Amino acid sequence: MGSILELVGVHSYYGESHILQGIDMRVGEGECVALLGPNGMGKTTTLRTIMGLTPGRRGEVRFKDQEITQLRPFQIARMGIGYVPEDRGIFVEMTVWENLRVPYLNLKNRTERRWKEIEERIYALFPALKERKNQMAGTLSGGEQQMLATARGLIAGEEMVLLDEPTEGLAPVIVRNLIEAFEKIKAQKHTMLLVEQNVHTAMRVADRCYILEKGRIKLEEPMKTLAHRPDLLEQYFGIRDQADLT
Amino acid sequence: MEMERSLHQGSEKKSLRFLWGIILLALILLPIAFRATPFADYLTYTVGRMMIFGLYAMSYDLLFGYTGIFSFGHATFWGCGGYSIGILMVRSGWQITDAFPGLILAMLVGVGFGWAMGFLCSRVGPVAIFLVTFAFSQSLQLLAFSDPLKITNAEDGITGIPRETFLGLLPIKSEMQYYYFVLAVLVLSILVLNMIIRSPLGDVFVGIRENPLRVRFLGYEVRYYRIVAFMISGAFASLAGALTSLHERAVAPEMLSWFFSGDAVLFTVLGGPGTLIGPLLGAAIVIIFQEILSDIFRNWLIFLGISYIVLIMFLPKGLFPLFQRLYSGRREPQAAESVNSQKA
Amino acid sequence: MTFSAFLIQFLNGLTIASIYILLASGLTIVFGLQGIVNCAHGFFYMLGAYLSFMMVQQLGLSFWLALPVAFAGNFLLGVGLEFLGIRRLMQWGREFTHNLILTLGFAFVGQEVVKIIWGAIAQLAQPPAALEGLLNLGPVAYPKYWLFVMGFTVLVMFGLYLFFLRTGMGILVRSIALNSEVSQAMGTNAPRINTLIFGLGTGVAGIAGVLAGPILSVDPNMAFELLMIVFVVIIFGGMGSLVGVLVSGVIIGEVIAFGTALMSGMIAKILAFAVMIVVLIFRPLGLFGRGAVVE
Repeated sequence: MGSILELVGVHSYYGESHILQGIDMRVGEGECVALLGPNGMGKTTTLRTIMGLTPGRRGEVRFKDQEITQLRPFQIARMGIGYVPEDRGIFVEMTVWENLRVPYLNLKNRTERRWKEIEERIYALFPALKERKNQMAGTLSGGEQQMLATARGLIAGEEMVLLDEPTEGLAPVIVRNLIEAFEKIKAQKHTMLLVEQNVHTAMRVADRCYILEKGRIKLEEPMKTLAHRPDLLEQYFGIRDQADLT
Repeated sequence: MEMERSLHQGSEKKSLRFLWGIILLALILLPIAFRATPFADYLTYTVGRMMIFGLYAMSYDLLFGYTGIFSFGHATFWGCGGYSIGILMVRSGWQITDAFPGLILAMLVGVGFGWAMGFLCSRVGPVAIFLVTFAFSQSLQLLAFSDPLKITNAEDGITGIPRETFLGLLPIKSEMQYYYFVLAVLVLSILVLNMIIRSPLGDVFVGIRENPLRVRFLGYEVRYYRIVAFMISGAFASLAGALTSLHERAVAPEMLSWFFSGDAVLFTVLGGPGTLIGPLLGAAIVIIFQEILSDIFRNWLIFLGISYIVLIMFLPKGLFPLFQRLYSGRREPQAAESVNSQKA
Repeated sequence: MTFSAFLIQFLNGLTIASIYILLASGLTIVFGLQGIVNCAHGFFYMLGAYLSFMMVQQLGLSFWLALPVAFAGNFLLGVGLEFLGIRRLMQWGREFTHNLILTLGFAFVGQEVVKIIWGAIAQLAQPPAALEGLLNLGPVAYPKYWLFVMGFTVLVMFGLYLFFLRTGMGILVRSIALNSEVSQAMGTNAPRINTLIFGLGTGVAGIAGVLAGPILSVDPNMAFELLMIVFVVIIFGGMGSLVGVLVSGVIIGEVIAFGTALMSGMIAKILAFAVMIVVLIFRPLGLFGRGAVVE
């Protein structure tokens, strides 16, 4: 299984702040990798750096063995990397349908049939979006907006999707729905890099995880192993009781 | 290391002061040195103009360079200063020939209009400030043209402004006398503006430019200080306008034209925003160019436009910082030498 | 005021509003998209008028040819300005005042070049032969050409509406206006689209110039004469809103028409400025402003 995404010695800056201090990571084809860790430690910055949205960066980001570190965001997206931002980034004054069209319109070799296929795929994953097709995206509920953002990321990210805290701030019922959708996406062998603060979500979907603390990777573990390491769970996530994980 | 650095800075400051001393001396000696020549009057008149525009530019620097307010309505003060003189000394019928009341009135009017413009601009963003100040000065120009209160004499403007004495003591009638008067006013203004900038007030201004939110959190009401910036800037700009109307002995609605607002911007951007002296140099350079070029080219506005473009793209900090670096670059070896000799 | 006099003024207001609306559209679209104010917009208006004047009056070509040529010429020049100047300043992270100064300088240069080429005297352009003369509207007779300008403006606005709301490119443009970063993360080549839309804006300004020639005359002060009023229209209507431009343009056009007829041109202008200042302070979003290029 080849690596689709590779980060080698990546540093990222925000003004004077040195946020990422030498990150090494890889995501294999068809894998779902989780990037975990406490807040404010650089998880979002990692995704943004991959997408080329951070102006100050050093190191190497490679996608399918091609260096993309110096490329502009739209070029990176066009290579098939989708991005689901932390704040969802919904185009509020456009309809759901129009929101979905944005990433589609930037794909090469567009045909009517291809769009129909994409639409079917998306609506199968997220039926609620089909109902609200012509509704203004700003009027959607939090969960629905997250679905829309994820859908957009999938359309743009035919090779790989980056998801930034997709379950943040959502009610448990909705989180469950979303996780089901993620499991389906994973079953379709869609490569995913998932940033999460919520270990539970990560546990359900991810194969492997990296733990990021203070801008450095502290740990890399298969998810199954992490589940059985109460010492790590307590140290990094403050989880004392195994029962919390169900 | 510390001592080296402070010594170095000290000698830098000393060498810059030396430079100002030379320039001041040159300005003082200029009319006298060239008195016998045929172009004495032209030279005195032109350098006088440079100094007045220099004052105008410095007042704008306070607003734009230091406080970061991009106003496009500075002509308001230029014109109001001029009209203060014109209305008080000619239209009022009070037969005032001394310059002092007019100049004081001009400064007060400048403060007043500065307050008005500042008030309108206090809570809005940069786009709005640009448009509001522009609209303000345009409206005033329209009013001056239409003259509803019958005080500005509409498009003909006010002519025959007297220029006799200042405070009853100083004669300022001749070109040379007025020249020295303007020089004195300029030097005094530089000292006052410099004092303001180096004071805590000046720090607040720069703070507003760099990081208004932080200034707010430190307890300073940004709105209030913006208005203060406008008022001080307006006072000195009005003073400049008044000086020019005394110089030309006339004032017209053209003084409120946005060309003068654009001039303020050009002088400051050319010379170097936020340096106070830079805009002064900028004004001088532009006037020299205008004098040289406007006889050759009717369309010298092209050069103004090209200057805007070239400057803002490649020299946004202006010429003065460039000069500073070049000048202290030359001085550096001397400073190092003196340190070494001390060590030995 | 008699009814027919009122009707004439009302139509005058609509005519002048048409010019304002065309000019304001280009300016507001660019502002809604990139957040920049193009001080050279008035120059592009002037260029359109002079190009048309040259083609029709001096070269004897068709008015209907002048329209697309003026648009194309302005489009290319606008793209050049954006690509070489504005985009660089944005890339270098300069503040927005630098763009103001750049476009201002460009306007000065452009205006003077036009004066050098075509002379500094005002000229009156002729409307195309097919549109000369008056049309009988019952109580009044009104110049055919002026009615055509109104109709053409409606056509252009409708075209813009279709473009922004019904085409794929329109969707992309709106997405950039709403959230440029996210749109780029979805693959949108925002820099290129910004450039093209800037060209569209200046092109429409050129069309406004072509149309205005026979009405307002082709004169060397065109570049800045209307700019202030156009700013008022945009602010009042809400920056970035085309519907706002339409509504606000009509209102301001009528204010200017009736103000000039009943009081004086200058007072009308001062009124318009006062409106703008009040709006900026108390309702900076204007009538329809929401920060997006929509409807």
